[in-house]
Amino acid sequence: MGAKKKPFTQLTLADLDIDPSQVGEAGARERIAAIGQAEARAAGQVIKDDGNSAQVIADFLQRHQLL
Amino acid sequence: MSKTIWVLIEIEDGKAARSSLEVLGKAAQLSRAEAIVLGSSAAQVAPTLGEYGAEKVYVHEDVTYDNYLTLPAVDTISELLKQHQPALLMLATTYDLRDIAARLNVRNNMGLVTDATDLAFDGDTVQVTVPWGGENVVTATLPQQGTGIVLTRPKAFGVEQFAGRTAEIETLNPSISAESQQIKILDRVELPSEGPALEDASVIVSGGRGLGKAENFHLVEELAAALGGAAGATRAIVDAGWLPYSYQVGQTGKTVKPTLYIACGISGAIQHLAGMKGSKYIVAINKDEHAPIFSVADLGVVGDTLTILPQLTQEVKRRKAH
Repeated sequence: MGAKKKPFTQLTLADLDIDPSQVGEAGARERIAAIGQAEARAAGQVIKDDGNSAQVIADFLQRHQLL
Repeated sequence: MSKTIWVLIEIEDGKAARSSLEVLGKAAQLSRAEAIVLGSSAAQVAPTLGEYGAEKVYVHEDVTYDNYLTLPAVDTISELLKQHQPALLMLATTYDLRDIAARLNVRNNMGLVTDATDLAFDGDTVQVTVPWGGENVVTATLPQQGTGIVLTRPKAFGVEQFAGRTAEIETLNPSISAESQQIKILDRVELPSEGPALEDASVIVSGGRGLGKAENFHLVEELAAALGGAAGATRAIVDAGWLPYSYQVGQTGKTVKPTLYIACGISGAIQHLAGMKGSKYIVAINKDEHAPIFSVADLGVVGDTLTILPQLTQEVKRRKAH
């Protein structure tokens, strides 16, 4: 890969004329206050198709007034 | 004095966009909400915003906003920020509003949190909830000084009605710089799609790879039609060229929150789940019992999608006829 042979120049903030207080953590205006677990969606019922699944699904829809 | 939240309202077909109204409603629940509406139908849209929560509306009716990409709006809002200091600017996540948020943030040194699903004031700070990495949520805060920006996820909030509320209207007269009129919009093309729009449908039936081939997608459309809903698709089958992008549900497609979502032959990649797991009821049909879709389904059926789908369509039609 040609990219590996290219010169690698490291610049400092001063080279770029950037005020250190404006970048990185010091410059960030947003803070992370907490990290927690997302509420998981509870898994429901899983059935194996025995040729009757259309009925089971339609019953489910009717039970929840979705038909 | 209560804090003020600004909401920039996008206009679609001469009306306030639903996504903007969702944000306005949330803002009005949190505190005093003020709307900003810019563009050629702005004066017509402004008086409708009171009943969606706005106490005040800043209006600038000018076709420049319609003809040039985002920069004129950035100019006007930056100008307005010099006169007022709201606690927060809340925006829906759309292509244009994301762009406007990023530019405002840099130009005015504001502070920006994207992807929010909830937010609340805790004293003087704004606490923003952001889902992160699938199973975690991050609570981020914005600075107490100045105005922060929060972009909220689609469908994070419902549209709220504030019956009898009338917004005070203030007409703006900003000067839009010549520099902001460089990216001209030449043409707008709408992708046609049949049936109810995915985002507004209360029932969505979606298909994935498990359908086997494009010719089988009609089975999904027929069930959707029988239920009076819309048909959707996974990224996999959109990428495979079975359907146009307008059908795509998921992280890089549409975020939907219908009452009922039926996933047919969809394994449930996390990117797909991200776009539909807010649905009230989820039914999944898939032949692989280990498919992740079953972990979010209220009812999962392990079986052959191509066999079960037509049976279910018949059964739905039969029961609806009674």
